[in-house]
Amino acid sequence: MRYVARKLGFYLVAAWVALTINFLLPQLIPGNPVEALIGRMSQSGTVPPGEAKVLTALLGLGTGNIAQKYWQYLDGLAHLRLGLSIANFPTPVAVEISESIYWTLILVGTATVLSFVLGIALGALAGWKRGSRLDSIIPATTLLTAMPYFWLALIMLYVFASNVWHVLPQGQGYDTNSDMTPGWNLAFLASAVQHAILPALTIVLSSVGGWLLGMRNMMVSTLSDDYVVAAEAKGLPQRRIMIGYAARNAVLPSVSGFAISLGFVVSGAIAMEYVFSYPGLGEKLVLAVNNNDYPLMQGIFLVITFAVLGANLLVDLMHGFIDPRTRLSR
Amino acid sequence: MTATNVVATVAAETGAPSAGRLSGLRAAFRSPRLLAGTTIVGFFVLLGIVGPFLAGNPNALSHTELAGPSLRHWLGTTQIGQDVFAQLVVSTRASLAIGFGAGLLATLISIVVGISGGYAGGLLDEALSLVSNVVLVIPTLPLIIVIIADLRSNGLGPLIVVIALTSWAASARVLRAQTLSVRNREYILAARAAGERAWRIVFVEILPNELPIIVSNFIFAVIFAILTQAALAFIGLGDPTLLTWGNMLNIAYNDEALSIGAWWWFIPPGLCIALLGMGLALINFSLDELLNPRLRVYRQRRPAGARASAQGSLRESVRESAR
Amino acid sequence: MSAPDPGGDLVLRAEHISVEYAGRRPTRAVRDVTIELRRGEVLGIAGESGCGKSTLAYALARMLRPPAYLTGGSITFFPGGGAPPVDVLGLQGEELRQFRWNKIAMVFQSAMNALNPVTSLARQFTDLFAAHRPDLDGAARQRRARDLLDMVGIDPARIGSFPHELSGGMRQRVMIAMALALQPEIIIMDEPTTALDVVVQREILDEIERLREELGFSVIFITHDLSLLLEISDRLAVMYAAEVIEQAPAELVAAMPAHPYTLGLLRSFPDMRSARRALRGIPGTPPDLRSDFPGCPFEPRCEFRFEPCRTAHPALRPPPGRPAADGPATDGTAAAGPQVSDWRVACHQHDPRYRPGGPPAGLNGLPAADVVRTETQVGAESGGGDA
Repeated sequence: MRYVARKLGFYLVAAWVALTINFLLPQLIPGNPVEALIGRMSQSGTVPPGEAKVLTALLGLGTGNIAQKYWQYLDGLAHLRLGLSIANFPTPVAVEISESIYWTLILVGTATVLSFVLGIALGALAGWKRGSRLDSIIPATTLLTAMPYFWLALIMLYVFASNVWHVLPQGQGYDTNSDMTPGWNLAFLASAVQHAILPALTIVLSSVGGWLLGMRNMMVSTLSDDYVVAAEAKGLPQRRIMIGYAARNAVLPSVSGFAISLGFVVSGAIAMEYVFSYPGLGEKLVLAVNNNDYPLMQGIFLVITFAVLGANLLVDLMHGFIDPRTRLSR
Repeated sequence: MTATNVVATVAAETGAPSAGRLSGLRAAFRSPRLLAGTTIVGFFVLLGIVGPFLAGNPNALSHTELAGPSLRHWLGTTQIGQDVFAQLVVSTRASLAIGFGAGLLATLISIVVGISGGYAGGLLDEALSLVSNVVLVIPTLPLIIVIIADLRSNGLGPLIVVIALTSWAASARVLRAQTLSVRNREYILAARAAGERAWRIVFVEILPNELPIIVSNFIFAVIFAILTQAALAFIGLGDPTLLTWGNMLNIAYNDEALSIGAWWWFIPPGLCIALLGMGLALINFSLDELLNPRLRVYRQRRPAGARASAQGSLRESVRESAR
Repeated sequence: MSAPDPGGDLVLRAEHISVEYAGRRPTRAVRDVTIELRRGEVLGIAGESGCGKSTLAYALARMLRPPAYLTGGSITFFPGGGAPPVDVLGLQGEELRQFRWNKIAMVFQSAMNALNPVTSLARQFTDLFAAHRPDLDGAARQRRARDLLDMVGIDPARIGSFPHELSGGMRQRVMIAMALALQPEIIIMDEPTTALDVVVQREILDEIERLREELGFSVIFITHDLSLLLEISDRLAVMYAAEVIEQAPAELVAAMPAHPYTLGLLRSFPDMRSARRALRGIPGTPPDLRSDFPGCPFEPRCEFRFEPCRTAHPALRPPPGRPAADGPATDGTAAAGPQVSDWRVACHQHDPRYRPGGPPAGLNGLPAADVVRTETQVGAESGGGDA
């Protein structure tokens, strides 16, 4: 239980740091951003009263000293007063985010889990059969992991979705040309899946190599550990040794290192979504950047960060479950 | 993108065997992977230094727009008739500079934070650890995007600094773990008992021992910096007039190279990034095998007379051929 | 210790075992070693670090891994109850898997690392039963596991614990329990008590002795602690530079060592009960096992060396004039069945061709003043007496 409390505490601190960074960053913006933002908004329509106040608090530029500004900022966030989007004025930022978040969560979440499981399994096999043909794919996997996600996405599109071989859709989350409505209907779901294939494939191909290599090396190292040698001496079947003794121990660093890996996947997914015009948070973020839409940027940054922190917390808890030794550690 | 270092970091923290002798370096150079890696990286460095003098003018317009590869334009032309090959070569310099610059800065920060925390112990160590872990866990690209966007600056300097500031944490953690284990070795205790000053111990005794890991971290940081800068340039952040691989991809994409099918324009820049990254990763991978003897696949032939059936090993035959 | 049956039958014979570690200059870690193990006896293997004892043990259990390779020899296992002998090196696949642990089990040097850190003890025991005793159902496996813990002196309720929750001594007991789980005929113990303090060491050794008397398995006990071996072994084999240089009954070897190295070892540790004497070490260091030695490997450090020692390699042969040394010498000729030859030494001083008059004082069986004796020896010499 102490382990859980400690982990929870840490992630709360990290979340607080993210919030604070978000508060401090807009201080960097040259000039008077609130005025500029209001000005641009008014070009697209009437700006509701009080919007300036919301923006001021959101960007940490409120009245009073820094503590008061901080309080106003936190207060605004707590009430989800995230401002109005500029790119899509007058949609509130909160709405924009909630529209896109599911797409990203499902795509990135599923693809990451798939990639992790595949990478670990293949890595375990490669490590187990060290020196065999499976090992010779390692240079190929290093090439894959070094590829920028978005470039791989371009290639995917080029090969599968356009001139060369038009087999998969060219972008979007679902077929926006047809008249199907988003919702829990089969047509929509089928289309959504079809549109998710290329992006998911891109994520998996780019990230599986990292987990594969890591697991392979850890597996090779574990194979010379005493308890694996002992297990073999005991005449246990190969399969049991590979899974229950070697892999089970070899996977631990990959689980601990998941935080770093997840950061990469999320980062890579941002530009990738942009390429696929996939209606997720990543694409929205790029759009926001290109429009200097500060409220939207801040909002998305916070949401992405919290999601990653949450995922990491889950994985950390799982690590404590798999490895009984960590339950007692300081 | 994580390569083996994710695991190596944690393995180092759980007390994996320490670095081997540098004399093994000679044997390591026989490894085909290390050779391949160094060749690739060397090629790009050479290209970056010498290439721009030889490749021609990347900005020159011509009337052959969007043409495929030809004798005149080895990699074809862009939408406004610029020579893709020339652009590629010139981009090498900037991409490499940013990558190595940010990587170096990040490594320096990680050395300071990791080693001082690991050596000092106590409250300083706790504080620095907490900072490292928090920076580690916050996703980097969204953070960098927001910082750069807020800065509204296209400068190279801020870019390098920002990338470095967000990527030092993983290396710092590894170095701290290593320092913790080295700190309690007898020769360090002896030095402290003899009254040697802390900074001297760190520079003379501890740092040289951790050099292999530092090199490995540096390579990792460079890969990260190159990829990050490419992504930033691609989505439109950064100096639009500075020719980098990421910038090329941005322009290619915005000029509809994809739908036109101008593969000679958008494939090469990404390929360069991928190849350079692969070269660096291969070096890292070979370094891993050098440092951790357990990872070595035994290349010696079995001694004459050894009976295959007498091996109790899990796999009855060990492949000795080149990997 | 219980007296072994001098005419007892063999349970294991390993002949001309050689093991090499591959490398640019291969290390020959075990050179032409022949040993025999009798049913129910404790065979101690002594020698300093790096002499090849652990490698030999792993070879016997077929546990060698690259870069270690077996380059010669044969190992024959004689199961009880009249079953035909087994060529251990010829076993493959499923046969090998079933042979393992059922017939020969091993207790490793560092128990902590020999137990899977992330699974419970219960699971590790049931793994063993699932692999070898498929007829036992889940409940029976649990019961048997708890019985085994009880047998080695651990509270059976700890069956659900993880290895890191146990102390060093307890882990070692768990290893012993696991070794006994399938009731093997041979248990190889590789420095099982080296990492423990002397009190726990004593308890564990007493435990092993008790179990051995109860269950009747044979033990090969490997350690560098010669005084320990003198106490618990029936027979002793001393290794030096990858070879067995003396093999003798434990009761007698302390009083009358035949090999100069054995003499040196015996002179280098004190006995609490004997008179004070100066300790003597053995000058020099063991040779590099990557080289070959044409003569006797101990020659550079030997105080009894003479002309043949530098050029002729001594073979293991019975030293004339010792009790129980009158079995036929092993000289490579095919034996008609299990041979019994209790005392052998690899030293030219005991070779009648070089020393027709017998070895010099110190090696000739007359008790030397500066050699430690166990209670039994003192008692035997004075026909029963002080304790």
